[in-house]
Amino acid sequence: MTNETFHELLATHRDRVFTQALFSLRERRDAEDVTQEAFLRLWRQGDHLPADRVAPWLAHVTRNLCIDQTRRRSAARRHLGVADADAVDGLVAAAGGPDDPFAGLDLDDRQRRLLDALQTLPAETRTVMLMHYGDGTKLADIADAMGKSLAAVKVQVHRARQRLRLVLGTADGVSEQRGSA
Amino acid sequence: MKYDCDACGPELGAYLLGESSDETRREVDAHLAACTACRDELERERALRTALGDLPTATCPGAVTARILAVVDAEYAATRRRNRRLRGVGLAGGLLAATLAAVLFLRPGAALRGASAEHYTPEQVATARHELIQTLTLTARVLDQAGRSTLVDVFNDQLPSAVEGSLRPLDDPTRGG
Repeated sequence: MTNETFHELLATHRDRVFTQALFSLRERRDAEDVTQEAFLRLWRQGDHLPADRVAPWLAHVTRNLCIDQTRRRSAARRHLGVADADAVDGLVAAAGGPDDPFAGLDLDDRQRRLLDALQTLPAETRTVMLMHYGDGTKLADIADAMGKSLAAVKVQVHRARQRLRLVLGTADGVSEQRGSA
Repeated sequence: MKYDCDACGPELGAYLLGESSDETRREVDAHLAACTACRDELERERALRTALGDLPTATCPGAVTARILAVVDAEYAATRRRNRRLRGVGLAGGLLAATLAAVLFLRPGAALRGASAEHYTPEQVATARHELIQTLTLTARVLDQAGRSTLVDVFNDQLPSAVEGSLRPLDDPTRGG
């Protein structure tokens, strides 16, 4: 892969990768680190990736990096111990709470509830939902990138949809739109 | 097998995006025409697609882009330097092979031409030996320099000066080797 080709891929996909990491981790600094690592892996992948597979490949790698990051966070909390971890949380809260990871995104209440509901899904399922619904990535491409069967991904999406409906309840924006489309 | 709700539900996402096969599409159409629950599910699928599709995209901070490009540009430059060195080593290897071939099959023959193996004079042997040493020394130098220099360095600097040195008279004290 030439330097110029990579520059183009970065310009095309960086916001999407950062958004996926941000929605998944809800922490800007972690999302920045994951974005950087995902693109460095893309660079080191060289020419082995067809152009039309870049987006699902990036989404898959980003999802794995987010899982790793979440595990590191959990391990850090375990290392701190419950009392210390709670003390840190207390200090953060006393300082005005953690920065809003979605600051500047202009989300309405319905969208914030939707993001909260997405957070209840397993990381892989959340990635699949954001890729399929948010980016319009074909289920076949998602299945290919994740090494799963198409049927398995279809069932995964179907169950996630049911789970979101359960979490959001009847007053959410999704259900409110029933019959309006 | 009858196409039922259990089969229809997971298919609705692909159905809406036009990913279903023609046969599956016909089955979903037929099922939707008869099933209110799945028609409702299809509307929820459509609403969820709209809601998730409407989520704004965050802008990747410029500092992140700069950090990525700094690493990539540095690695790209290092790779180019390494490739040029490898080409230089390849060239030097070719030169070494060609020189050895010339030494083994041409130069000794020129020095000893006309003499049979049992009639080499001490002068002929000394000349051939000296030429062999000079040629191998020159090749070794080129090879050594190629490992640390670019192809351009080899052609524009190392090789001409080494060749020039090797062409000076044997008794010239400034002669290379």
